[in-house]
Amino acid sequence: MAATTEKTGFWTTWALPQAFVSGAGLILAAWAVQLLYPALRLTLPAPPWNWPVAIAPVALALGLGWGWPRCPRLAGVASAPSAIAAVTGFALCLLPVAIWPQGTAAPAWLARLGLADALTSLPLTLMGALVLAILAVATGRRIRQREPGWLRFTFLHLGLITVMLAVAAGSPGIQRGWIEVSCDGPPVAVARTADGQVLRLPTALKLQEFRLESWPPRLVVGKAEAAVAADALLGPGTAITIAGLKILVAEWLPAAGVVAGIPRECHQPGAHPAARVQVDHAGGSVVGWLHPPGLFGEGLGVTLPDGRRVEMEPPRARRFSAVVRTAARPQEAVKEAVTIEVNAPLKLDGWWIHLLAYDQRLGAASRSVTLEAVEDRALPGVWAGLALVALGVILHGFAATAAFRGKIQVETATGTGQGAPR
Amino acid sequence: MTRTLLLSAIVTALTLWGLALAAIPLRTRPWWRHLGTGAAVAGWLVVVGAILGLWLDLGRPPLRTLGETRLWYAALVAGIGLALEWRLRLTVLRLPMLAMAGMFLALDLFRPDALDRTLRPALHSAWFVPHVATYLAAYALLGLACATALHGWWCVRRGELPAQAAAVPVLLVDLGLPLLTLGMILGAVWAKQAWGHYWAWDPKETWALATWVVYVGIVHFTRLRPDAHRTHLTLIAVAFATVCLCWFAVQWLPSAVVSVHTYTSD
Repeated sequence: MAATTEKTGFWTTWALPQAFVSGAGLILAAWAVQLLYPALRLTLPAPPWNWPVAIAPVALALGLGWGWPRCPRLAGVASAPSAIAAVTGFALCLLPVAIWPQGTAAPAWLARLGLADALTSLPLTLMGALVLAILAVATGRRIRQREPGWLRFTFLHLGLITVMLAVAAGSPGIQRGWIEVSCDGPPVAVARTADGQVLRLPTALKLQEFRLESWPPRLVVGKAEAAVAADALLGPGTAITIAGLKILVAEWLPAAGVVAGIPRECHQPGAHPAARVQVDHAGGSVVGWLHPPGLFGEGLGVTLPDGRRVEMEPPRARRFSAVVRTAARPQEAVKEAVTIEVNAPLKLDGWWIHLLAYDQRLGAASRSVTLEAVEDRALPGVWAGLALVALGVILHGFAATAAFRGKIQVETATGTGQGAPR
Repeated sequence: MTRTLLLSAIVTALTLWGLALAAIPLRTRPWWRHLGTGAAVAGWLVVVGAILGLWLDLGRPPLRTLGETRLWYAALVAGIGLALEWRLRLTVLRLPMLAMAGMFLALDLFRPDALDRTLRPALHSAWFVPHVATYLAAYALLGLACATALHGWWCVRRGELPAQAAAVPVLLVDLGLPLLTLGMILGAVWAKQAWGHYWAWDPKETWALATWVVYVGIVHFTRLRPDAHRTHLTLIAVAFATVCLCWFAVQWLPSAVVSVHTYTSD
């Protein structure tokens, strides 16, 4: 490489040094522009930059690669040195986001360098767009030239491009708003966006019922960070050995409230279980009640002579769902009741209504939930890209191992793989 | 499966893999070669059995805690390594494979997790197992690539780099990167299903992207300079640090304060 550079000059060949110098220059220039114009906030793939910075250049690059596969300049753009320099630059621009919190939580020195909002920065956006454009040119050329192995790489690369373009293309059409619905309030037919705008939903929603299914609670022994959690979940008759203690549940109340320090049955939503336990320790045994703090009474635990404390953790949520009634208009009669869960959004005329949160203070007694309504028409594109990538992975797995076997056989037979390493 | 039974399975698998490692220098003799392979396969079966037992006992896929993922990782490293050894007739994979799988299994012995049966509502999803398993398979390939690259360096220090020792790390990265890509897209589609967002720039997600980008660079470099074996070995060995960072160490970074993805001790 050094000899070639001396003979022909630095810029007359396109190899790793030239690609890295160009990439570094691009990043530094973009960083300088960002420092001079801090208000210039670009976020890919969000609008309005998705079209001018991502979708249009990528479509153009794909077309150019396909149309002029043998053009030397395009071959240079889509070469491995360009790809390596672009992904290295992209990785460098990602580092501030990866290491430090961003935005208002960013350290002051990072803000002074103009890197407190790296996600909306010009360098990251440009390098991301460059990576995609190089990938697109290479894919266009590959589809046209059909060199060995073209099919598997086309599936992998075209799948990736399809996913990214679908995300970017769907981005301006994405409408996202939050809805608070409750059992006691009126049906709600609008969602509020982050900037306070109103989105009309195709139906009015009202919470009919909130359901919270909890895991049985766990038992913990110790203090704060030094606490040890038991392997088994608590229940009637449970016998646990933990931290040298034998603990037996002598009495179990599935839902209890604490009255004057004693748990009593309490069949109300949000009531935690209580257990009367016998704790056998080295010096004898202690009997007492365990109850996690909650809506229906304070926390109860058993303190051992050595100062350690046996407690019951509040039961964790297993799954929660909202039964929501839908109606065409807020004042109209209810059409149907549907259940929304975390991984099972309600799909309604192109909208996906996700269940985001409930009133954790009230737990199972919560009478309101927060829903998020999202409309994204480009989702099928992402599915198509996913399918292409999956197909590419399978093809590549077989083809790469077969090619490797052939290569090793040849190298072993000819002896070209042996000897002093480079 | 009780903790004692799980720990017994780990000790058994480690013993069998120790035997397989001890048989490596003697593998020119057929009896020792068969014993070594048998012990390696038996150790792998014990770990797979432990995972299945844990799955049945916990009533959920054992993919939630760091310790559980380490168990899967050991099984995948050994399983993928043995499969490649058989399909490609490789001889250089045995030592790095068993060392890597054994190290992760031993970590589970010395830092066992609480056997927690609970699973958060967001993880009750058909995407959970495909996403995490694809990622762990990719990590297994990249981990094996790192181990074989270190083995390659050992060969370099001895003055000779056999064809297999130079080519296997490159092949493993070549197989791992597409799986990393697939795992990342599966995660994004799952997030879309659960929360309506493909990507939230959580530190874990950002490191997953950074890891992917690093390996994209390496794969392109191996194609650009196919004969620069020493550089390949160095890059592949060092790049595994990004996988480790993404997998274990994100929680120690300043950015982790805003993460919802980090493993917890509970």
